[in-house]
Amino acid sequence: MRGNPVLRTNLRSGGKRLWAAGAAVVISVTFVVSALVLIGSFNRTMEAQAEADAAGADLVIGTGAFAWAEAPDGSDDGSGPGPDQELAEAVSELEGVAEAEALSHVFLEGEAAGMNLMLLAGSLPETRTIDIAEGSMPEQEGEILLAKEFAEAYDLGVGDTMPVNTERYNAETDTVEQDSAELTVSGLAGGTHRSVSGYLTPEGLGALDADHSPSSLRVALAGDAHGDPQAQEELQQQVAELIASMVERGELPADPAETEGGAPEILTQPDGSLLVAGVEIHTHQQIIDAWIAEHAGQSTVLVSIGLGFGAIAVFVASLVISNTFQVLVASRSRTMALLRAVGATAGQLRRATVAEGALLGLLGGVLGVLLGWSAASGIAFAAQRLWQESFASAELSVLAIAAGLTLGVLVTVLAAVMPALKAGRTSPMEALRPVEVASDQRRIAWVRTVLGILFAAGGLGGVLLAAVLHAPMIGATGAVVGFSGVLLMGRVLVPAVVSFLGRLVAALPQLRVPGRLAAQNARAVPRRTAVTTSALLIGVTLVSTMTMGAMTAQHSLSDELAERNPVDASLGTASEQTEQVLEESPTVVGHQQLPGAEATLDSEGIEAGSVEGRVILAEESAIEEIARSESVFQEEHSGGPVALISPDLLEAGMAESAEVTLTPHGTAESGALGAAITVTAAPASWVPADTVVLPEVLADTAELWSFESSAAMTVLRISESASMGDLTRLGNEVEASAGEVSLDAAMDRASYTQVIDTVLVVVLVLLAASVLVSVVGVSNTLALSVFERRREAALLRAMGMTRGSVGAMVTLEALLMAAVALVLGSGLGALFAWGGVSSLVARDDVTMVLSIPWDRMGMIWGVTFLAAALASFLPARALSRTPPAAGLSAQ
Amino acid sequence: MRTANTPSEAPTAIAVRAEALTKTYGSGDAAVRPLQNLSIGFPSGRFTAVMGPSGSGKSTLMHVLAGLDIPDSGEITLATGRGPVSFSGLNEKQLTLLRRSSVGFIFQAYNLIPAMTAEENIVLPASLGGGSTIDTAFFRQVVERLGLSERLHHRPFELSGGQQQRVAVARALVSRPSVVFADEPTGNLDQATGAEVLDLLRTAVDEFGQTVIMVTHDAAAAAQADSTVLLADGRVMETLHRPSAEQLAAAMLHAGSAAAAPVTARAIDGGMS
Ligand SMILES: Nc1ncnc2c1ncn2[C@@H]1O[C@H](COP(=O)(O)OP(=O)(O)O)[C@@H](O)[C@H]1O
Ligand SMILES: [Mg+2]
Repeated sequence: MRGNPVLRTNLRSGGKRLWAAGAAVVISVTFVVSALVLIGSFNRTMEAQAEADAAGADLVIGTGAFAWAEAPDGSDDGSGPGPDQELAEAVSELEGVAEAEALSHVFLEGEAAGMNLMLLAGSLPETRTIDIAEGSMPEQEGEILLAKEFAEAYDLGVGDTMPVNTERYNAETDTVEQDSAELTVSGLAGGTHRSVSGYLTPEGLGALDADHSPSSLRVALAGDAHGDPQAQEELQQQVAELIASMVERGELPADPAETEGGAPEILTQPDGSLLVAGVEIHTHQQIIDAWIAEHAGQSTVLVSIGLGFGAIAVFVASLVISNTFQVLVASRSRTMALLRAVGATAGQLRRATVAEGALLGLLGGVLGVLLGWSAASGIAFAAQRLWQESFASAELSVLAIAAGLTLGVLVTVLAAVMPALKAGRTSPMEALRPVEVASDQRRIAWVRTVLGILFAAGGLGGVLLAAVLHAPMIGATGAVVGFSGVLLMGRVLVPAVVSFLGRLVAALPQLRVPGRLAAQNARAVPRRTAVTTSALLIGVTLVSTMTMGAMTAQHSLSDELAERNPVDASLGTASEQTEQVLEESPTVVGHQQLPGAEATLDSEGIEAGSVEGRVILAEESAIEEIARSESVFQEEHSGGPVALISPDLLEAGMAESAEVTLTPHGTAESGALGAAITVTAAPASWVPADTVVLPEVLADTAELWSFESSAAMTVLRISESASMGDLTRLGNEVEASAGEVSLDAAMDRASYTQVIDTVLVVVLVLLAASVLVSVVGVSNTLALSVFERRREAALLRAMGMTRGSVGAMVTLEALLMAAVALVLGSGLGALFAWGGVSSLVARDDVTMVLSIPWDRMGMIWGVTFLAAALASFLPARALSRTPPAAGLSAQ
Repeated sequence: MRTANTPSEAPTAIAVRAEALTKTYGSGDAAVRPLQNLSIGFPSGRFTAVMGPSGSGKSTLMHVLAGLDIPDSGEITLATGRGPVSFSGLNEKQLTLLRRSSVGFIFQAYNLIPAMTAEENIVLPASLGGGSTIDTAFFRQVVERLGLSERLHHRPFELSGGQQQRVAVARALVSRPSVVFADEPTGNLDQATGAEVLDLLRTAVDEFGQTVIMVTHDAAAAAQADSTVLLADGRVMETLHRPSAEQLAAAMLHAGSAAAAPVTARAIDGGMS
C-alpha cells in the first residue's frame, strides 16, 4: 500500500462511505457460503447414510431374487439351507474371502404407542459394527435391537416388550398361517439403518415362525485386501462367474428364460455393478454411489435453489456495490483531478479504484465466509436437534472458502471497473473549476432505452403467451428477459417517475419545497436513482410474485378441489348435541341435516349384491348452502345427475359408477316395492358407509318414502382458513356424538394450503438476503447524496428552511424511490404470478384469475416504506444538522 | 523576445517557450478564444508575473503551459533536466509523467488532499512513483524555510489558509521542477498571509534558483516579480521589466480598455509583431 498513495488516500477518505458496499458484499457472500456449506453437510449426511449399510462389507450381493424362486431340485421344504446360504458357502471358499454371510429378514406387524407398527427385522450382521446408543446387543431369542430413530418414533425404550404378529405361507395347504410372538428391546442402535429397522440373533430370527426372505449376502475380504477397491472389483468378477457356473450346473435357481440352458450372461451395469441371473453384485463404493445417485435428485434441487437465490442476492449486491463506487468516484472527482494535476496517471487512478474494490471484496469475502460458516453451523445444529439427529455438522470446505472469497473479490472488482474507468477519465482541469456546477447533460442512452423497450415488450409478451400456451419454460425465460428490459429502461423511466411523484407530493403545502427538491434530485442523478430503485425493485418484484403466485395457485387449487370434492366434510348422523358443537365451532361455517330412510341397496356393482343401508335425501336448498361447486351430483362423463354412494360399497375396479336399486324397508303391501328407485350412483368420499345420497331431482317417488331425521346425516362447510390442527380438533369434538366423521376434502384443502404456505415462507426467507442488500443500498445512496448536497442544504438552511424540512427532503426521496419500486414491482409481480400459475396449470377450461392477498401485499408495502424511512433516518439527520454557514465555505 | 533581450541583464536561458498558441472554447457565435496565436518565452531562474483583465486567458495560458490542458494549435517547449521537451510529441501519459517530474503548480484554492497529512501532500508527486525521489536535505530546507516543520503531521483542515497555501508551495518546490506555475496563489488569502506567500516565492527564485510564473491581478504582488507580462484578449500586450506599481496600474488600465475594444488591441498587437 505504501507504493500507492492514491489507494491510500482513497481508503482513508472513503472508509466510512465504503461500509454500505462492504455490507452488500458480506451479506451476499454469507448467503452463498452458508448455502454451499449446508449443501456439503447434506451430501455428507447422505454419504454417511450410504456408508452405514455398506460398512464392513467389501461386496454386497442382492439375494432378494432367491426369495420367490423354488429350489432347483424342487425340494423346498424349508428345512435345508436356502440358495442364498449355499451361495454364501461357495463364496466363502473363494480365495481371499474372510467371511460371507447370508442375511435374511422377516416382516412383523404389531402395535406400539397406539399406532400400527410394521417392522422389517433382520439377523445381526457380523460384518458390520453396530454402534449401540443404549442397552446392549440381542443375545437370546426374543430379544431385539432396534434402530434408535425407529424406536423413538414408536416410543419404545430398552426393556420394553412389543407383541408382534407373524405370517407364514404354507405351500402344502396353500394357506397363510398366523402366529404371534413377544419381543423385548435389548438396546437401541445409533446411526443409519436403511434395510431393516431391527436386529435379532440368527437363532432368534430363525425362531420366529415367519417367512424368511433372503435379503443380501455380505462378503468381507481377508487381510490387506479388505477395503481395497481393486481387490473388491476382482472379487466381484469372480463371484459373478461363480454364480454363472452355479446357475449353469443347476445349483442356484434362476429364471429359465434367462439362462436358456447355458451359462447366464454377466452384464455390467452403468454404475459398475454386475448383474448375473437376476442377482446384483455391488462393491462397497458402488453401494454408496448407487444410494447417492438415487438421492442426488434432492441434492441437485437443493444446489439449484441455493445457488439460484444466491445469484439473485449477488446480482442485487453488485448493483449496490457498483453504485457505491460510482458515487465514491464522483465525490472524489476534485481530489482525483488534483492528483492528476500533480502527476498521477490515468492508469494509477484506475488501478487504485480497482484495488480498492479488490481489498473491500477480500475483506467482505473473509467476513462473509466466517458469517456464512457460523450461520450454516447454526442451521445444521438446529437440523440435528429438530429434524435428523444424524445430520452432518457444518464443515467449512475449501470450495466454500474459495467460492466466497472469489465471489466477494470478483463481484466487487467487476462492480468497480466502470467507476474505475470513469476515475481514469478525470481531467486535471476539474480541480481548477471554482465551484462544481453539475453539468446538466441529459443525454438519453438510446441503445439502452431501445434495447430495454424491446426486451420488456418481448419478455412480458412471452409471459402472456406462456400463460395461454401453458408453457412454463417460455414463461420463465420471458419473465427474466422482460425484467431485464425493465431494468434497462430504468435509467430513463425511474427518475422520470420518481420526479413525477415528487411533484405530485409537492402539491401538499407543507411538502412544497422538499417535494420539489427531491423530485429535482432524482433527475439530477438519474443513474444513481435508477440503480438504487432497481435493487429495491428486484426484491419487491420477487416477493410480490411469490406472494401473489402462492395465493393464485392456492385459489386455483382450491377451485380444483371444490370440483372434485364439493362437500368439505360430513358426519354419519345428526343430533342436537352434535349440532350444538358445530354451532359453536369456529372451524365450521355452515351445516345442514339431510334426512334419511333405511333401505335395501341392490346392485351388481356391490360386492355382496345387496346391502341393508340407508338412503339420504339431499334437498337442493340444503346442498346449495354447503357445497363449494354446483356439480355435486354431476357425474363427469354422463353429465346427467347421479346419486352418490359410499366408495367402500363398490367393488374394486367398479369405481366409475353403478346402477343401484333403492328399496325402502317394508313390504309389498306397504308399497315399498312400488317406491323403489333405480339410479346411477357414483362414489363420493364424503358419503358415510352403506349410504346412498339421492338428489331431489332423482327422487321421483319421494312421497312414498319417509325420510326422517333419525336416519339423517350432516354435511358441513369448513372455513377456508382452517388448519390441519383445527380439523383434528373438530374431528375429536364431534366423534363421540356423531359416529362416522369424514373430513377428507377439508383435510386435503388444509394440507395443500399448508404446503403452499410453507414453501412461501421458505422462499421469502431465502429472498431476505437480497431484500436486505437492497435496503442497505438505499441507505448508502442517500448517505452519499447527502454528502454531495451539504452545500445545498447549508444554503437552504441559510435561507430559512427548517431542519425538519431539510430532513424531510431526504426521507421523501427514499420514500419516492420505494414507491416507484413498489408500484412497478407489484405490477410486474402480479403479471408474473398470474402468468406463472396459468402456464403451470395446463387446463384450457379454467381461466386463471389473479388472487391478490391484500393483507400480505399491504404488509409488503408497509415494510418496504418503513425500511426506506429507516434507511433514510441517519442520512436525513446528518443533512438536517448541516450548520447554515458550513457548506458555504470553499471546501 | 523582448524579455530575453533586456539590455540591463545578461541573456538568460528560456525555461518554457510557447509558439503561436491557440485555444478556442465553443464554436460559432458562442466561441471564446482565450489564446489567440500567442507566443512567449519565460526566462529560467526568474520570477515572472502574468497580469491582465479577467477573462484575458491568463489561467488558460498557465494550464496549457503546465500541460494540464492541451492547446488547439501551437508549440510548447519546456527546458527540463534532460534537455528541452516539446509537448506536441507527447501522449497523455508522457505528459502526465512530465508534469510529475518537471512542473509544479499552485492553485488559488483546493490545493491539498484532505485525506493526507501536510508531509504526504508535499511529497505526493514523488510518491506517485516514476523514479523521482525526494532529496531529503532539500525537503528539510524547504520545510524549514516555509516554517512548516511543526505542521508536517497535521491534516489540511487543521491548518490555516496561509499554512495550507505554504504546504502547496512546498509541494511545488521540493521536486525541483523546471517551472512552478501559480494561478492567483494569494487570491483566497488576506493581505498579510498573501504577502508572506509572495515572499516565499521570491525566496524560491533567489535562494533555490527556481523559475516561477505567477498569475495575479494585484499590482503590488506583481511588483515582487522580475518582470510582468500583460495579457489582453488572448495575446501578449506588453512585457515590463521591474515596473513600478504606477506603471503597472497604467498598463492594466490600458490593457483593460484594449480588451474592451478589440480593434485597438489588435492594432497594438499588430504594431508589436
Ligand atoms: N472550460 C471552459 N469552457 C468554456 N470557456 C472557458 C473555459 N475555461 C475558460 N473559458 C473562457 O475562456 C476565457 C479565458 O478564461 P481564463 O483563462 O480563465 O481567464 P482569466 O484567468 O484570465 O480570467 C474566459 O472567457 C472563460 O470564460
Ligand atoms: Mg483565472
